[in-house]
Amino acid sequence: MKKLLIILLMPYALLGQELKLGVSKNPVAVGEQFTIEFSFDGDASNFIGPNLTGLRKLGGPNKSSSSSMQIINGKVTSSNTTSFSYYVKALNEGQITIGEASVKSNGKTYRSKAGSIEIVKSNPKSKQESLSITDNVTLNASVNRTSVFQGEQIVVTYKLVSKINLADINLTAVPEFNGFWKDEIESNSNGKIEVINGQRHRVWEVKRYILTPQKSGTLKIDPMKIDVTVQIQNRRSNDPFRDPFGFFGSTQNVVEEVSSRPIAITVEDLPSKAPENFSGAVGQFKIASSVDKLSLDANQAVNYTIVLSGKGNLHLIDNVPVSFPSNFETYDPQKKDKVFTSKSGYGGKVEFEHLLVPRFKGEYIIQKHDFCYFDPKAKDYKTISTEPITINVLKGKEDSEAYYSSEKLSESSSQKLENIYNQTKLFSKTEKKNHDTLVFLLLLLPIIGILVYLIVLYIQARNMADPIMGKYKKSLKIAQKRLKNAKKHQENNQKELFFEEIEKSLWSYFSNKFNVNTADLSKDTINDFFKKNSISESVSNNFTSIIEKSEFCRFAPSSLDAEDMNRVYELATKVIVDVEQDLKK
Amino acid sequence: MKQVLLVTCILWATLAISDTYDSDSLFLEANELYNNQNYAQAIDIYQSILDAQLSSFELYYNLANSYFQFGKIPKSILYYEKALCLEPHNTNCLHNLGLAQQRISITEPMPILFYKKWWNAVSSYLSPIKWSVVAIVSVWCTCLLCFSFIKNRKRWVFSTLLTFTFLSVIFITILIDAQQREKLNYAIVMQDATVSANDKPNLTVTAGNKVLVKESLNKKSFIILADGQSGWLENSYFTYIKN
Repeated sequence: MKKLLIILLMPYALLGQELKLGVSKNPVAVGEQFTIEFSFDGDASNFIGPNLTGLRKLGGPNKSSSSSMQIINGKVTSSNTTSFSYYVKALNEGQITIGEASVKSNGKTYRSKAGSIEIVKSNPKSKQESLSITDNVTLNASVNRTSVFQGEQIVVTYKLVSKINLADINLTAVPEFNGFWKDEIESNSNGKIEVINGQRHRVWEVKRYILTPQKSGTLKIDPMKIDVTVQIQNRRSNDPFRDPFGFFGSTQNVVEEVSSRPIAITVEDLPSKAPENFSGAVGQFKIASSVDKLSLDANQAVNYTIVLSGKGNLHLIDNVPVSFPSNFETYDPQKKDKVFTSKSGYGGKVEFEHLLVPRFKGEYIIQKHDFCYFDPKAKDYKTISTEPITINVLKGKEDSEAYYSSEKLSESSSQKLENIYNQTKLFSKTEKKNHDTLVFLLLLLPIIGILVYLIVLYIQARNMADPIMGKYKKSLKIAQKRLKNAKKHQENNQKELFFEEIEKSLWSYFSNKFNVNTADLSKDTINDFFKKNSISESVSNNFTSIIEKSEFCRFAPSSLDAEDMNRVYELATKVIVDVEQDLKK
Repeated sequence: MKQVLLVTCILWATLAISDTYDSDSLFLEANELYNNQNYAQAIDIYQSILDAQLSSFELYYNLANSYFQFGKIPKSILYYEKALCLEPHNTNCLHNLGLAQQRISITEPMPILFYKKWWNAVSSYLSPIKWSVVAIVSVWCTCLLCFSFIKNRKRWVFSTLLTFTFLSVIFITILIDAQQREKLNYAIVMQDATVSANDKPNLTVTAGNKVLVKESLNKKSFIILADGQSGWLENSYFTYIKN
């Protein structure tokens, strides 16, 4: 019988080992925090947690084990308990089922039974707690406008408004801002105290963004979520051991999530008829240009600055299209950003500093530069332009002429192409005649002429400079000349003159040839000089005899006839030839 | 009989002048096409006149304008330069050439020394043939003065002789310089190309630039760019301005 009882009790003993589900509170109020505990008698491991839908898990599962020992009438019994606990928060009203959980112990798997919790509306007591967070703390998202043009800015401000003191705030979800170009502005995190509806509120500006829509349509700004921690005085606790002296903080941290409302923004497309030079600037702008000097020398640098100021997406403007006179050396502009953010978006100015180096002397005009932007207030495109600036380059080289200065030409006349000619005189494309040789000859001819003339003159001058030599050379000519005269006289039958000429021709021949003064002329000198110059005696005798004969005939011309004259003439010419021949030997 | 003679005479005369007459009417026709902005056809007709071995400054100039309007800037530069060979100081042509050069990336020319610039200005003031006439006249004058000075030495003759000698020397130097300049072969690069130079690996020259051809071989030529850089370039990339 006893045995039977044991057998009957066995299942109970076995049943005693099970995974039990327990909750710290049931029913619970919405927003209340409580503990779910799975306990098991004995060692357990491999805990697989339950499905906790409808609850927000704040912590867990935490494993803890406890053992106890009992001595009753000398009998020692010990028990060992393992527990797994979750710290959760109830979210919504209603019945919540906590699913199965399982553990392993001694190779066996134990499963818990599913249990249910009722979540009720927060009771007045806990309502006060709950109210203290959801009603007293709000996260406001505000935009300065909800309908903008593409490229215009919106400022989104997130403010946390609280009536109570907050222990901590923790951003859990930052909106993505899809379709926007976002720029975060630093906001002061120190709370301010504002009075709203007669009540004191503490206001923190959590975040502020400047958003620039990148596409048109309705764009949604996702809500921002913040975990707010509030410290609550734990007055309900009557447990004297918890805080007997009130030293260890009788407060409890309660964490609550606050989120902002989503905001829809309508983004309008820019009008389609955008001018060509529109680069995407949206806002209200002013443009100005300046140079640091108006006159300078060539190859010196001048700074040309374009200042764009106003409100709008200034920071997105990369450059203002510029054009400078073509013989200016130009460099990439330096961009100076002085953009600040205000409550309505971006503002300030952007400077584009161009370094220019004119290379040639002259007066140059830096043309006006246009800048086109979209004015969202006027809902139209606007073009503003700088004033043209005249720069005077004082010293320096003139424009090089190897390549025709297009600058000068285009400044004076229009950039238009000169028109074609209507009439022409066509000629054959024959090979060009080469005049080079002709030119060369014509150039050389007078020079050669001058040279020849100069040579002749030189020779003449040299002969003049040496009279003896000149006489020597001329002697024959003079003799011949006189003989010619004699021939004339013979023909005219003037006998006296004939013989005189013959005589003179011989005498002059002799005196010239041997450089003898006319005063020294005599037959002896003739013989002397002839001997010195090794002229044969017969020739010298002939010479003197002809002279004698002519002398004689001069004074007795009548005794002579024409034949004699002929013979004398021939003899005279012969004797001169003979002298010449003998001299050459 | 008389009438027959007259008719044959007229026929003969027309045949004789028909060649240039045709070309003149073609020129006018092309002008008409140009004015109607039909540049492609105008180019064809101007080219056909050129193909008939006829040329003139106006023809080159109009053709260059047509190429400019048609968007073929290197070709237009080539024909402006050809036109300038015939009339080097035509302002219209210089203006249009400047416009054309603005459209392409011109190699920066080397700066020229001031005295060289003056010299160039003087020597390009007259054409070489005119300079040769000036030089010949001056040389003849010098020689005549020389003769007269030798004959009777007068002071004024001597001073004018000195001046003329000096002038003759200058004119002959200019003439030689101008003739050598005339012999330089300039060409226009017709398409972007890489010049193979020893010292610089990637020397590129863009279409429309004027280069000096120093030496020409079968396939390649040694060219000098406006900025003084030089190298070898294939002959197919450029076209000579002359001929």
